[in-house]
Amino acid sequence: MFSIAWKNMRAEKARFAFSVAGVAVAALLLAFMLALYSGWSERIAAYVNDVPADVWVSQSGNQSFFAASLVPDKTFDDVAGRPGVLTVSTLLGRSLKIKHGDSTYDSYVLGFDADGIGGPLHIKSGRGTPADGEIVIDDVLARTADVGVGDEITANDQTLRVVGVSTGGNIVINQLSFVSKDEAHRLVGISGIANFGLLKTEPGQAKAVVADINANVPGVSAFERKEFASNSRQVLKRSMLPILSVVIVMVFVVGAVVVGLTIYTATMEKEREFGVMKALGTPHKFLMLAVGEQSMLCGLIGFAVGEIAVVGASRFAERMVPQFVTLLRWQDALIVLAAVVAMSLLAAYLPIRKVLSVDPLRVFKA
Amino acid sequence: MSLLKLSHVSKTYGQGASEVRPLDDVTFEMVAREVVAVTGPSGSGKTTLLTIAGALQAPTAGVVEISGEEVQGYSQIELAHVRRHKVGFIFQSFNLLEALSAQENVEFALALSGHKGSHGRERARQLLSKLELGTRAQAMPRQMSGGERQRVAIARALANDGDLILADEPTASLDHKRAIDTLQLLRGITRDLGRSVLIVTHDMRAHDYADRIFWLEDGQLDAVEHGEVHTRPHDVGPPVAGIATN
Repeated sequence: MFSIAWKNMRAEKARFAFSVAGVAVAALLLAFMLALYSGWSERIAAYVNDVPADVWVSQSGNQSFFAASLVPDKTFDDVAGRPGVLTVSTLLGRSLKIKHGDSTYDSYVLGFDADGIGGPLHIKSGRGTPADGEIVIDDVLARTADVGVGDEITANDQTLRVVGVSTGGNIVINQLSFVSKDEAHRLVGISGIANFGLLKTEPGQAKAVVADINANVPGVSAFERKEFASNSRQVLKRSMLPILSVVIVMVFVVGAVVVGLTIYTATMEKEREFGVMKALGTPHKFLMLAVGEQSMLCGLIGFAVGEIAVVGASRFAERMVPQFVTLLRWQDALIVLAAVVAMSLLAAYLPIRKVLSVDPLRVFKA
Repeated sequence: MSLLKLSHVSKTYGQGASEVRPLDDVTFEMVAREVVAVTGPSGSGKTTLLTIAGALQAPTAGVVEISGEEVQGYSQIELAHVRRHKVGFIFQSFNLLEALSAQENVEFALALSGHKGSHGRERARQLLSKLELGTRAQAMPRQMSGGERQRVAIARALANDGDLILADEPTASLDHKRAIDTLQLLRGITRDLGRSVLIVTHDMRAHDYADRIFWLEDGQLDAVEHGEVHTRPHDVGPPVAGIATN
């Protein structure tokens, strides 16, 4: 048989459109927040994850890329002598204000060993091996600051010439810039220490090297690359998840209220018709399904519109704001779908109660 | 077998000083192929009688039997089942479902009584054709005249397999010609389809199409002769084109 819900909605296109738009906005916001979260989760530890190191070494007690870590160079010499370790490269950096023209931008400037690992991941233009007085900046920072190869910027009162633009260094809260180790010592103002050690190990030995360093080298903690990346992601999760949860709950409630109100109003206006259906002997189950289906149709169409819109919104946002990182994942789409279904069921609850309470005798009044 | 039997039925609303008793120990019976008109002053309880006869509400006392089935003590679910299968309703203001076409309105009632899918569609088409609405099957209620809407409502009432049609003021929203058409149609239904029709109405013209007439007042239902409340040449109307008992 035809769907009463679908017929009712087709008969009232404006109300249907309003209801769908309400769900679509809720789905869009929900999908956008999740895309943002997924994008940030992916990007924030992307550098740690993509650098070709098998093991990361940091100051003892420090478990992520985002915690302060100071390790003497001598300790890294000890690490280099441990069994299974092939090479040790070190990183030294700090967050700095980078000035270009009258504008100032934040960047995390990393000094790396020219003959080691830990430099820029991918070079978009120019070169990736800065000499003294030179810097490689991330593409996002380059676009934000409108800086290109050959331009000069100022960091900590030192003038640096941009010799390369890299990608893969946008870690959301900052963008990574790269200088030589000597330049880093000047910018940071200290020498004889580094923040992190990046180790290449003998094949299949990363786990054993980690255990060995943690057991035998005092003052440092070692992690396999994946674990260090995961720990770095946790920083985001701890800080952002509670905020995200609140926003998601608010969006969920707003969506449910919009759908609920429109379905409830539609039900109220059709109260007499529901009375007629009851007088004709329509089972309660059918009436419940009719209202539930109406709510669900609004929800599912709104979900589809919202999901399509989020693709456009993400692209638009990234084009307008280069730092903006979103990642659209099918797993997140399923979460939004589940939320929309829950929203629609919740929205149908009061209208269903209303329909079930309609007195069929009222249809005998003219 | 009687299609409808009310035995010592009473209905009371309110309590104490505000107590109203529109039906007081009413006993009444309808058999196959008859049109019965119940008339009376406004507020006399005609609609109460109709809704009790249609298993829409229970009497305060007495026994109601619809097509041989006693319905007192039935749950709402069981009463709804009786309405779906044994009773057809015609309302004063048509009460078609506005989002559905004429055919879909009839199909809806058919589906409730178990005639779904292509069988239901075909049967709805047949019913509408027999009521001379074949070309208006896809029209929406808002696109139809009052007479057409009432005929769709009649087709809907005929959709289930029940033999009892209950009509509440079926001519009240119609002009004279369409009112007469509707009464003739109801008369024809009993003759050609073997259904029985109970009409509660203020409209004295309905008496001319009824086999029996009752007057309801002060809770009492009394049989009256045709001439007692109104006189008019009895006209059973033309046959309903092509309607056949199914």
